[in-house]
Amino acid sequence: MKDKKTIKNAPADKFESGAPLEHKDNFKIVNSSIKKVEGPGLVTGKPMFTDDFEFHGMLYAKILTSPHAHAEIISIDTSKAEKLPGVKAVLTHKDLPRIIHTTAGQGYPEPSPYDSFTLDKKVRFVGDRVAAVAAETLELAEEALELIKVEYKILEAVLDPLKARAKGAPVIHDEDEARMIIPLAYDKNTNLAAHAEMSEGDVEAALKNSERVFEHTYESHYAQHCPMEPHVCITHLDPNDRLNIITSTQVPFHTRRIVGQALDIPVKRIRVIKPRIGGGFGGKQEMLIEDICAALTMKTKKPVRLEYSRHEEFMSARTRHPQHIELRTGMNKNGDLTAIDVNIIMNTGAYGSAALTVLCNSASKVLPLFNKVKDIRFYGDSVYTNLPVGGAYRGYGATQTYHAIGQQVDIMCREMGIDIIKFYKKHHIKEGEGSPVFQKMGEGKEGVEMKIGSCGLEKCIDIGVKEFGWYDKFNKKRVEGDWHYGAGMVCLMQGSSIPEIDMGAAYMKINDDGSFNLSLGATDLGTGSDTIFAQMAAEILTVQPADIIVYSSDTDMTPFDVGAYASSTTYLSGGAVIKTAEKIKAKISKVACEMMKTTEDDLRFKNGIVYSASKKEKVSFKDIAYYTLYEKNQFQIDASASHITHKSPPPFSAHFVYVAVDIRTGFVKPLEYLNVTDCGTAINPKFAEGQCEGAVLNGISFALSEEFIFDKKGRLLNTSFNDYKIFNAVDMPAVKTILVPTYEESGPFGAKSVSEIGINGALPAIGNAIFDAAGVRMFSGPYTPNRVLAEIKKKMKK
Amino acid sequence: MLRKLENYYKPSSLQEALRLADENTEGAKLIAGGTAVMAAKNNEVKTLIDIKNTGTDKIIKDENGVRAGATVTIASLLESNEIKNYCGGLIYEAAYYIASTPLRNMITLGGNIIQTFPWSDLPAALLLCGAELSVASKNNIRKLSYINAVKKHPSLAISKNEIVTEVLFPDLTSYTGKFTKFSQTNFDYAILDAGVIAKIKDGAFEDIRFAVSAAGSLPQLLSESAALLKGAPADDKGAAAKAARHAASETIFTNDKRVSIEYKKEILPALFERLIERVVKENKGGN
Amino acid sequence: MKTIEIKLKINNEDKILRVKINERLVDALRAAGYKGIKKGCYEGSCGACTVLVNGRPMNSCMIPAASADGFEITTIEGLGESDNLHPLQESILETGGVQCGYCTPGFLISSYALLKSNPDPNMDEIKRATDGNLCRCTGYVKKLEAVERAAKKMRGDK
Ligand SMILES: Cc1cc2nc3c(=O)[nH]c(=O)nc-3n(C[C@H](O)[C@H](O)[C@H](O)COP(=O)(O)OP(=O)(O)OC[C@H]3O[C@@H](n4cnc5c(N)ncnc54)[C@H](O)[C@@H]3O)c2cc1C
Ligand code: FES
Ligand code: FES
Repeated sequence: MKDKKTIKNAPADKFESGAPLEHKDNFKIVNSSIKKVEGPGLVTGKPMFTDDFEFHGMLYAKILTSPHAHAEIISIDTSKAEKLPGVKAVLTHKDLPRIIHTTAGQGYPEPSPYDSFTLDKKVRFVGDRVAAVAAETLELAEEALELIKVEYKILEAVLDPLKARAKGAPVIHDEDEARMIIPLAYDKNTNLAAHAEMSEGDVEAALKNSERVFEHTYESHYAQHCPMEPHVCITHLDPNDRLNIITSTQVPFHTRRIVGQALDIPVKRIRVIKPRIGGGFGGKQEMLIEDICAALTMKTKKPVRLEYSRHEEFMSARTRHPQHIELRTGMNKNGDLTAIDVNIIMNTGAYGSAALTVLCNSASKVLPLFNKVKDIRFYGDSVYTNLPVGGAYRGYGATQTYHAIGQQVDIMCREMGIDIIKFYKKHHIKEGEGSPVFQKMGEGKEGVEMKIGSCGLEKCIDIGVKEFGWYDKFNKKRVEGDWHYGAGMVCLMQGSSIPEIDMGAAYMKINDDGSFNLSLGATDLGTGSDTIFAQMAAEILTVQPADIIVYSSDTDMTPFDVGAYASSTTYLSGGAVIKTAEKIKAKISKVACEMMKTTEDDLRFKNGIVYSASKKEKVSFKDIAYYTLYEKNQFQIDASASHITHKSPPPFSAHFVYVAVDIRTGFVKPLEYLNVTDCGTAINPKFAEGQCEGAVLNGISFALSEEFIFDKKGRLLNTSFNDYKIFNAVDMPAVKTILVPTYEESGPFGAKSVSEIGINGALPAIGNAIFDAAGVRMFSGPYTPNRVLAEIKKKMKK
Repeated sequence: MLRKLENYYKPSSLQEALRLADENTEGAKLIAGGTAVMAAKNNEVKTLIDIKNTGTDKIIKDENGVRAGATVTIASLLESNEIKNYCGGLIYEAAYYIASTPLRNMITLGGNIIQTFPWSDLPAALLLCGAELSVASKNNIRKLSYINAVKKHPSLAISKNEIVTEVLFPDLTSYTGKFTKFSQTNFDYAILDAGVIAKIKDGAFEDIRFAVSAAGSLPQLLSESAALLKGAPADDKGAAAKAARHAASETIFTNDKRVSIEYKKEILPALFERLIERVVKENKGGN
Repeated sequence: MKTIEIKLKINNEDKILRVKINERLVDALRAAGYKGIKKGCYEGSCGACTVLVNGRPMNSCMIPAASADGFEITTIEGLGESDNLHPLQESILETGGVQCGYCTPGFLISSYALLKSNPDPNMDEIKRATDGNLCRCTGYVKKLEAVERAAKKMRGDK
């Protein structure tokens, strides 16, 4: 990275609290809230999403799913469906090669177990694939599904994760092929999908020597991502018979690789195009529907479109892994945390997508926050059940563990009479410090040792306390009629990218008019990454963001990138953009020297013009483009660069929430929610705030409302927005975001990540606020009125 | 999706609609706001008769009370001063939290009270005020009290060739009514709906009625519980609490996947107590 | 499936569409090229498909196309052009209220209807008017701010 740049003094409305800025001005484009580059197209409704593409003769696909949680398919009769006029293909497991793979959109070798087939002769959850149809219309495809006769042998199902590994429990993956492809714990015979553990020091001894030991069990619950655009893809064969996949994905390159693997098609025969994506939140970090759609195209040679209905999104797409967390912590007399012992049973559902890595992140994105603790143990099993499948979801394991530890800190502080604010300020990890957890907990391999380069958490806490009015709200026992008021807070960290594993690359070239194309594999899933990359490149090249034409992503046209996950895009792919832009600048310099007959140290860049300081001459980028493209020693000024990261610097955040609890109904009304967040330099402050606000509201809605309701046989009963309730504008409290700038030396222009961290706070902070208001502790989410009231009743009986 | 649909009629007069309804009793269905019809998967429906253009979309006040056409939308109900002022805002309050803004522009009064779901919000309010429906067929118009209509299911009280044209909200000038919808989120089906109307004279309840919905499959009037308050002083909180508690035992509950029956029983008294309090308070405020 | 012809006005243009008898208006409009209308549920609960019908916002997934004969419809395509944005479109870009943008057309249509009938709405009124438009990306903060801002612009306030 270049020499240390500094942060422009932000206009007053950006940092309302007047947080002191550490670095004084000289960014021009970066660290300013420019408008989204693709904004005008979006707000005028231009066709840019997957389903906006139309192909002549396109067929519509539909998937038949299992009504049973666990069953063997004895026979499938598709003859009637095939005879229905307009039906062009029906696929069952008999029609496809039996190739085991994982659907998790991760780098190779994937740290998720290989346990999936495109179609199998066994079904493992209600919603699992049985067969697929392509027909001339969607209605015909739906009708055809009803004509497929399937005979099942129903097997005993595992519906309780805590019993998944019991002796004699049904084996969910009894197929020979299932395995981990890297040497990691995996035992399909006992439904163990993954295992992670670490230990540092001597937890038992430390607990024994503690003044108090706190032991509680927490349950974090299922949730669906609910992107407004469901999973959708269109597959077709191009004139050269190559398989083209237009798909709403966060991981175009992984999708290409996995579809190739699952259908046994060489990667060179596949092109994956990611158009505009209507939200993902981790749900689209998965090769979820592309293989089956592609198989239908391969069979019919026709364009095929497959879109999940909202019902299917709930039934068959991925979810947040529920965790059962047993947490033991110790405290000594003066309120110091002495030991942390975390035991997790994570329900990965019928398949092990991200079964290991989510578990690892439950440790690595949480425990280092308390790095003063010398004695730490973490032990986690990911278990298979015949329930919906877990997968990547914003927060990625950290959300689950913060639910536990964020409340346990509150419990400890209350019971020991410690000020929680002082506790966090004293105990949280600081700049220059490390944690053994970083090194011990990687993702499928050892982690990376890391010292914290930037940490604004203390400032976040201070600003938050003041801005929120913490001491005026907390522990005030305000009561108005049946409404009891209370406040809660929590501190958080996350990470930025997966160090030494993930790679992002960029490619750039100059055009006649001095503008540039910037192509990236990185996928903008609504976060605004296309815009911030334009800002970064523009900053370096001294042009306007509008001069940078960003294109992402297309496996034929753009360089590789792992995709949008692990809070990596800004930090990782941004590194690639900077390197690429620097290379372009170097090439431009060379040409400018040639044109002005001078040397590089004589050059000054300003507004897309190169000045010679000594000769009082100048050439514009346009002049340079014309020169190199048409005039002399012609060549294309272009460059590409790749970036990997060596650390995963955490963003930090302090969350504060004020709630009112109706003690006669258990209804919890969130009133105010403040998050104060350190994400390093905000490349685009409004976008960064937007990430915080979106994550916060998703977190609040998850904490208070969102829930999977199952029947006794493992069927999900609430598969629509009518009964799986996500918050609308009226439900939301007054949400406020304050960004606290720090400068992360290892990041692009000092940036760290911001997209995930905000979702982790609501469960613990609201849990703490409910306790503050009503004196009841919510160990299990979501805090729906009936659950909260049940706790209030229990307390009243005592 | 109506896979077997063959005909879509949108008659421009009530007479024509009634004629079509009379001719098409097999596989035919009325459609008004369309929000229930379009949400259903139905392979039986061959004909839809759209009644939105039949001129049954007026709200007028006369000596008998407020008359609202069956195809009046929820949004129009909310915009109407007659409805706002009716019975202390009873109907207004029941309509206010139905669905969402765009849906309130579609859902009709008739659709809401005929194609009734357990959690539909208007039916309980109609019970409270003793609403009366005008039901037309080709050669006849009959009156149907809504209380009678919900004895089975309202849709069973109407025959295939009939159309509800109007709802009469009878004059209740001396009454005050309040309605509450308890739901988990704002745009949500009720977990419980409750409503109270009362006539207070000389500081005592001369008449009082309770209704509840989203408890059982149909809305219910709780006459036993309300009777406990008849004659009681309006500010007798103990009596109100007792009646509210009784409401929980008088109500018939059916299973709801979202919450247990016990939970609903637990919170129902709180809802009624608060409603009574609001009714009394507004009454003091000088009606 | 039987098809019928409907005559209607879309964004002030007279149109004749041939639609399937059981088709939803959202699909008919999208098939006619109005791809700005999105769909996220087909059951009236997400608001992505919101259009104005005779001046009022409605969920076009719950409207039979066959009923739309004679309707006047406004879609997002009727609000403004990319080089001549409606104040709402402009404001939502300024406040950063667009993330993935999938919910944006429906949200803007609802807000547009609000500002037509209420040029100076308070925050509660803005929330109420957009209560049917779910958004999973933004947490609503900047979208609601955009409506306030647009209202101000349209009133000519400073
Ligand atoms: C997402 C969503 C959320 C909702 N939330 C709520 C809510 O919170 N509270 C609430 O109360 N409602 C709610 N509703 C509305 C409710 O579910 C019904 O859809 C609505 O009440 C039906 O009214 P409609 O005019 O659209 O009926 P339509 O769908 O047009 O008609 C349904 C049926 O009603 C009968 N019918 C309609 N009008 C007449 C008439 N004049 N005479 C005789 N029969 C008639 C016919 O049998 C007809 O087929 C919601 C709807 C949706 C889609
Ligand atoms: S698609 Fe119409 S409301 Fe969701
Ligand atoms: S911006 Fe993505 S759903 Fe609203």
